[in-house]
Amino acid sequence: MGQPTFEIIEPGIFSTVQDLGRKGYLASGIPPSGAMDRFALKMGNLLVKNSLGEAGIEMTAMGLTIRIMEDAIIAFTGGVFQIKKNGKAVSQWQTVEAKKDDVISVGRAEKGWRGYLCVAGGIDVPPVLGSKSTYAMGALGGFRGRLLKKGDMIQVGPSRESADSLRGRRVKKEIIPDLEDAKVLRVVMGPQDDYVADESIEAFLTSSYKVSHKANRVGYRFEGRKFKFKEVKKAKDAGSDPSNIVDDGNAIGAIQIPGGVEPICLAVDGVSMGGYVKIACLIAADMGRMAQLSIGATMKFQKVTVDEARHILKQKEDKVSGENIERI
Amino acid sequence: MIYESTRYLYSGDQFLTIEIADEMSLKANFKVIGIDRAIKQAEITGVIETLPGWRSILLHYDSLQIRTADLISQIKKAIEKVPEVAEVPSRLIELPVKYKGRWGPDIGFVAEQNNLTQDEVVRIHSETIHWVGMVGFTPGSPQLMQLKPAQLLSVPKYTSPRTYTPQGTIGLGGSLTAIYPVVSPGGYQMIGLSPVPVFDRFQSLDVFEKSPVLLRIGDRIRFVPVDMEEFDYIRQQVWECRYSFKIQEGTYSL
Repeated sequence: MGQPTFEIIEPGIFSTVQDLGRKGYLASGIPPSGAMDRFALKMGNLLVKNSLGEAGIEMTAMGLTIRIMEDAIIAFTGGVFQIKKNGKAVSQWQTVEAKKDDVISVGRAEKGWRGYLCVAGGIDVPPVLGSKSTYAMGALGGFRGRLLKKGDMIQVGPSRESADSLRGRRVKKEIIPDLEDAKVLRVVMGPQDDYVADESIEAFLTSSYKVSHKANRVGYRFEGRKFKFKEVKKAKDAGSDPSNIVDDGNAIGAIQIPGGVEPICLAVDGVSMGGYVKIACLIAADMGRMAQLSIGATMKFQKVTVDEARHILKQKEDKVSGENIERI
Repeated sequence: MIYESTRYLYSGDQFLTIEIADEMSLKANFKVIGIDRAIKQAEITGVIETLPGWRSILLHYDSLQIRTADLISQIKKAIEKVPEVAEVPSRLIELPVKYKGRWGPDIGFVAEQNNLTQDEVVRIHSETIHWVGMVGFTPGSPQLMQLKPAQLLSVPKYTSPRTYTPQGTIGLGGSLTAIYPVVSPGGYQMIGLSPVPVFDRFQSLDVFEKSPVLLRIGDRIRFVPVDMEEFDYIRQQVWECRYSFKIQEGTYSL
């Protein structure tokens, strides 16, 4: 093991090591995990010339403070956070030179909710089941299977590029997501929207919802209009509540409505199965939008088709390109 | 009811729900296993993984590699010739359980609800073979159906779920048995505790070499009642990474 690159002085509220998640374990009940805002992680990795799926640190609502022990090139992306290096403001979406003994602090989320710290060489933790991502509920992957805490010594892998070639790189301004967009989450209806009364579908797509305090990497709860269900004939195994179905698999982004009370949108650490009607599913491209919704924010759901969702995702993926990085 | 024709339901733009029934039955589960196998064998471009369940398959795909409409038509092609599945590969796995007492504090309620004594519940539950119909919710947690029980055990779930369930708990909810592989909330009535893991994140025991999760759809389980002394002995073996599971390879027919 090499020397640690930095020490965690303050961990923030919920800071974890994340890459793009693990695949192939859904049938075992292990969710993919990974960065909630994949675009932000990828752009951070692009800035420091890592592979796009390299592990960084995801911070939530309140960032961490680190002491640099070995020179490194780092980059902050995601929501708007106040970041300081030795007391002086540091910009996001561009590379930052961190020298031995520098103290870098990430404050509260001023806009958005999740921030990413990427470092040239990537966070060096052993991959578990093919990924460095932390699945906190299962105490799996990441840094010892858990949230980062004070005193943790973080190691970084070898950088692919010299520090000289990484200095002064920044993401073009027009590529940085407008966090106002997060107020609309786009969904594909189904798989069980046919259980929901027409008036409630209408209300779901037109009324405003508020992000409840129960919002995390497992799922986001939204407060707003309640749901009515159609009188449908259901199998006896389904359960007594009109929102019950015989258990089936939950997509990442599935929006359950237990008891018709609150829509719960499952996120990257979401449970793999359940017995509740899923009215719609968040499109893949908008998991990053949901990641940036702060507790108490108001938002709306908007319906799109699968083909539109695919087009939106393609457009977003196409932005992750070296052409969108410029020299200062 | 098993549907006349399979339903293809959008679960967002990266997942597809392939639904063959609205019921929880062995017959539906067998059909799911057959279709899941056919989809895997077809090696369709863009398919990432599948989650076979009681009555449906959740399929994860990359929409940038295959359009949803093309995916559906390729799945249709792959499964149209799947014959009725009457027999599936099925391992029989023995899991030791300490029933009753503080290891299974709700067994009295289960006995009462079924007009049985606690010992009769233990006898019926451990003499019945249990079918793994789906795995998930928490890592490695199986939902188990009783196969030809002498008397079908059934009990209402907690009306308000508890926030803490000890790791290794065996619970009964409705007529399904679940195993709680990690400390978690839960609603099934707790009837016993197993000293052996079904999820091993460190992959310490040999059986977990390929995957940290022991059980998969189509496995069968026999619960073997153990006393306190045996429980402690087995737990010691698990700690010393020497425990070996009794697993019998085989098949099961409808």
